[in-house]
Amino acid sequence: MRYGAFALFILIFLSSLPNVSAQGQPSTIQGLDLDWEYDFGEAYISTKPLIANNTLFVRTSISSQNSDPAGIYAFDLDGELMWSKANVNSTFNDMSPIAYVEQGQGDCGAWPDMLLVGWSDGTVEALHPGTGSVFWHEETEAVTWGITGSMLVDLDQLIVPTRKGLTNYCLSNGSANFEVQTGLGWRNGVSKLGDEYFLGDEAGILWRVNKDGNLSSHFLDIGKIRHAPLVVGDMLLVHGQGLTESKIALVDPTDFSIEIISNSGPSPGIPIESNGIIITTDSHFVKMFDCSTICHFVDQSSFVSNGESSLVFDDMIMLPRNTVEGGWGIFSVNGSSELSFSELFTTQYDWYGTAGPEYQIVAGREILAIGNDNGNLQVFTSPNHETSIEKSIETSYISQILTFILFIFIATSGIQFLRENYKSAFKYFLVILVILSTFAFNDIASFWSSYISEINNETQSQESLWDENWPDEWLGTQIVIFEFDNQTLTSGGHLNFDNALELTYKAAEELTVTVEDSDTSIGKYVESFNGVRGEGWIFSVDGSEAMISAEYAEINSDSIVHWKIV
Amino acid sequence: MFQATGIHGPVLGSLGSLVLDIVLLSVVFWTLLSSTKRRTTDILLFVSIIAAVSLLRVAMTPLPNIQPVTVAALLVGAQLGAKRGVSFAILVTMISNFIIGNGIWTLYQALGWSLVAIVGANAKLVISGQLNFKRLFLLSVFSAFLFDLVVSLSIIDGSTGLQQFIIYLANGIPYDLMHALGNLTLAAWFGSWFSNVLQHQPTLEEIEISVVEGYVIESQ
Repeated sequence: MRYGAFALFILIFLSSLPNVSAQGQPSTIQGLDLDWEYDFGEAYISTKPLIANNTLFVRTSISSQNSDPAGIYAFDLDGELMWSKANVNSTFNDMSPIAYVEQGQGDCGAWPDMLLVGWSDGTVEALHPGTGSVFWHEETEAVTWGITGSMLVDLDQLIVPTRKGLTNYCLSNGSANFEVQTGLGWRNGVSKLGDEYFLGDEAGILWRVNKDGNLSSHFLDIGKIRHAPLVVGDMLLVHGQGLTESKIALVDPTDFSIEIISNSGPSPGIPIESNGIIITTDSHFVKMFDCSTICHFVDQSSFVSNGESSLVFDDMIMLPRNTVEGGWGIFSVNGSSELSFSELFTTQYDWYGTAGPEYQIVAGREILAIGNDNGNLQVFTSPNHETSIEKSIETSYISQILTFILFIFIATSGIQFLRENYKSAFKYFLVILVILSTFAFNDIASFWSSYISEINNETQSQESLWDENWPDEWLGTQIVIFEFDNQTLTSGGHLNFDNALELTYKAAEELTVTVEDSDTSIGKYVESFNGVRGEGWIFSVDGSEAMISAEYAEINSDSIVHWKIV
Repeated sequence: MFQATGIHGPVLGSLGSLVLDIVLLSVVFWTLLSSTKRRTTDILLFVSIIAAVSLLRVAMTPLPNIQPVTVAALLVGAQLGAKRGVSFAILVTMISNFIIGNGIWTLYQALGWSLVAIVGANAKLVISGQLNFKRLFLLSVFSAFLFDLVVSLSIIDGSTGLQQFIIYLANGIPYDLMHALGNLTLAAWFGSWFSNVLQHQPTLEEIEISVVEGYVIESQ
């Protein structure tokens, strides 16, 4: 009997596994439900996502020498990846916030809707927000890194804080109006007050640049300036980073006179302002100042946050906790008198984080997008979004029904076992195994195939398979080759596809190659490309001929999938 | 061990398919040739089983390498003999592959399931009308690997080295295990029922003849 009970326990434990996986971790935040999420692999999300024109843009940053390349990703608001673009030359700390500019016209000319990106390799790019194609791009000097601070759109000009100065570009074509040298900067965004631009540097100098590119500067002596000076009325608020503490100062931009309004903890984040209320962050405190008339300290709360903060849900502040435990602090601002901690929101991906959340209401639908150094994007939406409800109910029903069936088999098997009807128990147990194996088969087959490939070590590096005619932008990305009898089509620059089949579909779509496939008991079988069947199609991944279906063939971030007609 | 994957051997052209079909149908014709006259009900039953198993194979295609034909071939071989087992294997392979996809692998699949049927015919799975489940389970597992090995041979051509073939087989181990698990499950759930369906049921006329013959023998 004891053996029977033990076996029953094992069965019940096994059956609970798919249930957990199917339902995942339930997650809501301030009435918003988790709608979808996306795993960017080994990459950081160091700056906040951006919602514009019904598209969610996310930038990722390199997390280590071996991580996936930094990139820009565009999703529709239901989580469908529209396009992505990698920059393999990018160095660490790609944290310059991406900016969206709507079409317009100025002295420099006309420009369409554009996504503006500053890269840590010093490149500035204006991208088509619908496709990711490049309208124009310019290079700035990189010293270890290039652009890391926030850029500024000023009428028909783009003001870019470069590693060594400030450059003013025409939005329409990227031609430079002026370029000036300041001190070396890091995360030193640029702001505008009156007709002048302001930015700080690592030496603690505040720089003033007028529209003609003339410079003046002043050493503030409050530490490094690692954010765009915050415009507060006709003053600038600067949170300077010292060795063990920081100083929050108000600076008069006309004569650089300075008033320290508070001392605070080390490693300050980027301050924000809303209706005269200023929020600053650092490794010790979140502080609140009321600057509606005269700037004065109001309240503070202990919290570790060193990056961006965001205004969410009308009157709340949400900021990433930059500790190994991670999570997101939500504070409410009660009028202008109190800063109260509301909740610590945690997710299954909690870790260090500096990227602020993106919150917007689009067509009556609240959307909150968060990401951290774990490289996982989570998007929460208000529950009145019909399609998401339908989808979630549908998914939930299937999952529940399968779980229910599984439990019936588990229970029956257990009962039969306890009744010492071993034959019957065995029959039910076999069905349970088949169901579990069927669900897990994709992962098992992919894992096994990767393992076999590894121990054989037959694969070749991308460099060795590289074709000189391919564009450099494809370096470090996923590439697909379709080799017909009389022509070869190639598509590259793809990111984050997990298996050869998904990547093939995407490449075929880009090249307008039609794909005909069929289901077999051993995975999808590609019958033809562009209606060409030949005697079948074979494919290789990184130079090694594949031994399993493309559906189960795992690929790396820089894999080359080569289809060849037999 | 494993049957090829989505990259299984070359697709046959129309002439190749015709030749393959003729060869396979000739083997079926030869195996079904018999000096004894078959009853219509037996023939109908045989045809129905072939149609049903073919349909089942097509229906179960989305499941990863769960092959109902393998256990069916074992039991058909055990109950109806090697010859009819082979013809069953060939016809099911041909019919289902008309829908799933035809190619050189049809030959190897037919060969694989024919071997399974022959194993079933010679394994004494049914003794005195009783199905030996222990043996059936063992053979279900064994036949999964046997079939997959035979089908794996379809990838061998002039360019395939031994090492490449071994890697190919190694890649297929999860598929083999899934095939074996599926066989075991089908055998446990439907083995007894399917065996009874196949078992020869004497007609009243046959019973009468055997009784009379027995009486005559006893009288002598």
